[in-house]
Amino acid sequence: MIPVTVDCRLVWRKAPPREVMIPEGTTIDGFLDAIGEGALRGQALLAIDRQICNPDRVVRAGETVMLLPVMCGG
Amino acid sequence: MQRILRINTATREIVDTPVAGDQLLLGGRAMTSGFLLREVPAACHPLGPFNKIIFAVGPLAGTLVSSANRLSVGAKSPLTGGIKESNAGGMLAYKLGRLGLRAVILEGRPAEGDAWQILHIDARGVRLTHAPPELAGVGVYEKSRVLFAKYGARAGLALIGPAGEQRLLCAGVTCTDPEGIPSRYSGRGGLGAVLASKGIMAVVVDDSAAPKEKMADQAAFAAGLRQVAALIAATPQTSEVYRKFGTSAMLSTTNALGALPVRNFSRGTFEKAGSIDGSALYNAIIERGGEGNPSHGCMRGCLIKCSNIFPGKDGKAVVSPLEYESIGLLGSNCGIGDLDAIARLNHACNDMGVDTIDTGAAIAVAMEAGLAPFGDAEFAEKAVKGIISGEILSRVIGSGAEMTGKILGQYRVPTAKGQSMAAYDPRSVKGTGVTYATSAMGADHTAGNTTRLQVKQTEKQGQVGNAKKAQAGIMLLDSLGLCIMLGAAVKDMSLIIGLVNARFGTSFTLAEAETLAARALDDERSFNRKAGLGPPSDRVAEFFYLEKNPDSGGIYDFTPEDFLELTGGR
Repeated sequence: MIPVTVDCRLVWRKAPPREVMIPEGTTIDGFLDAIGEGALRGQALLAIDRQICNPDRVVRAGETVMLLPVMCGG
Repeated sequence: MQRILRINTATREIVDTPVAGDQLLLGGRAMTSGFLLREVPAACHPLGPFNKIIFAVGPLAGTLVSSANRLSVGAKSPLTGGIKESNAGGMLAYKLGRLGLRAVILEGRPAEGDAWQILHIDARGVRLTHAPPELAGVGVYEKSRVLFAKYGARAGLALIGPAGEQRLLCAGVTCTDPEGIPSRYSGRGGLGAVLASKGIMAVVVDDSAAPKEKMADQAAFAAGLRQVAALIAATPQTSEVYRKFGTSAMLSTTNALGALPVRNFSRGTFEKAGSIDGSALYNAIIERGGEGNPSHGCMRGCLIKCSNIFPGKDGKAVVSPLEYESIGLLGSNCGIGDLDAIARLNHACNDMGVDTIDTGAAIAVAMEAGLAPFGDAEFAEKAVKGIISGEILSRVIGSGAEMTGKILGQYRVPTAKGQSMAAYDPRSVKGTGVTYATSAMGADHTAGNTTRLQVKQTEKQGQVGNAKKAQAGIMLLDSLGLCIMLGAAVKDMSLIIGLVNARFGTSFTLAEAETLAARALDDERSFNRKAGLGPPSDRVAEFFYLEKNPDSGGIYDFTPEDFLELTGGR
């Protein structure tokens, strides 16, 4: 397991950044399941270093994963 | 029976024809673009007699299917010189649908100096009558008050403001919402100027005597309608997020990604974002109470209710709606971080009848040119309100960012095909940046936004394909008369096609709809090519190729060859 930080910027659930442990080799695609937030699939975009990541990107120890709302503009 | 009305504004001839064949399946944008390609000489002057302005609705207009009553307005654009469609909510599409009208086409051009006309449509027929003379030069809020007093509260209105009357390039056409507020704008591309060129100040549609419609298969229609409602209720975005925060929730995403336009697209992250984002908007509405409402439906039957009514500190409504794009362009892009100031500015744009996106971009260009410091909300509001008295600077700004940049000698003008970008920096959300460059609509996020995708947005690879898929998907939604928000809940459009079949007793398939939508995209490119907007025009403003966005690190690095996958070189 490796430590990463989750920075939840979901407008309906803002929370201070928190550290969680995830299995080494977890990809962006599997990240929400790994932190027990599978229900957010389709509602949250995952970004690291101000960049939305490709689904096959592996999350590395010490990184901060930002959760951003999936939205339409208007 | 579904029909199409043609009105020649020069001869006053009115022709009513039935809708046949494929036209029963797709309406909206596919219909406006199809008519324009077939009937309007692409090289014509947009404000001349050969252009046409077309109001078209989708196949479910007039029913209570949620989010299916969008109104498309299409014409050759005086802003871009190309084909244009801009759609909005409001009540007009519902009322046209109840009267069995799929489209209203306005042709010709009355003699210069003729009196303004009101086009009045109801179950008894169509009439062109002189507009009350006191309405000339008046804002849309007062215009609509007078028109409702004359035609009754059951009417739905589409109208132009002073910007339209002056044929400004960013003049929009606004429709009234269920409460009669004239704020649902087909804002992009200067379509209000085209409507004005036909001598029409307002379209009044009264469906109060519309006959009750009998569906071909009532049971199937009711089942489909319930299914759409169930999907909206079961999808968190449509049942909770959009309803609570509306489109403004997008701001925290774009700000975090360095994609929010800030001070004329010089940055992608705004230091005052927390004062203007979805939470700030929602909290202000709830705390102030009064006439404020975070969950407002802009059209009949809508269950998503992503619109809002933003109140002032005294609880009285200032503007409805206050949306992400307006906050981005009138707010952060002008360095304004105060929701109250943005709301007043949005109200002023609505009242004058100008597009908030292009106007916000134009104000920021003027600020960069030194006419006022960024953040000067007073300058911005005065510049917009000056349209009513014909102030020269106001008319320049109401003619958009491209014109403002030319007149003020500016290099950094964030446009594509003469139209300003929406609130997504094309260097930071490259798929949307591809749409800005390649869409026949110009820099229009509604033509194919890719911000929703879980992909590295600053990476070039794959973005042309992403934009292509997004553009095809949006064309289908626009042509079915659907709100883009519905796409979050209804992923399989077969459900919508099933509703169309249940209404009309047809047997259309989704594949047929997709084929027609793809053809409509081709129609739009064909029109633009004939208008002189071929592949060389598929680019964004030069500075995006040269300046990195300092917050995302992205730069616009697409070549014309990159776009071949999407355009086929056509």
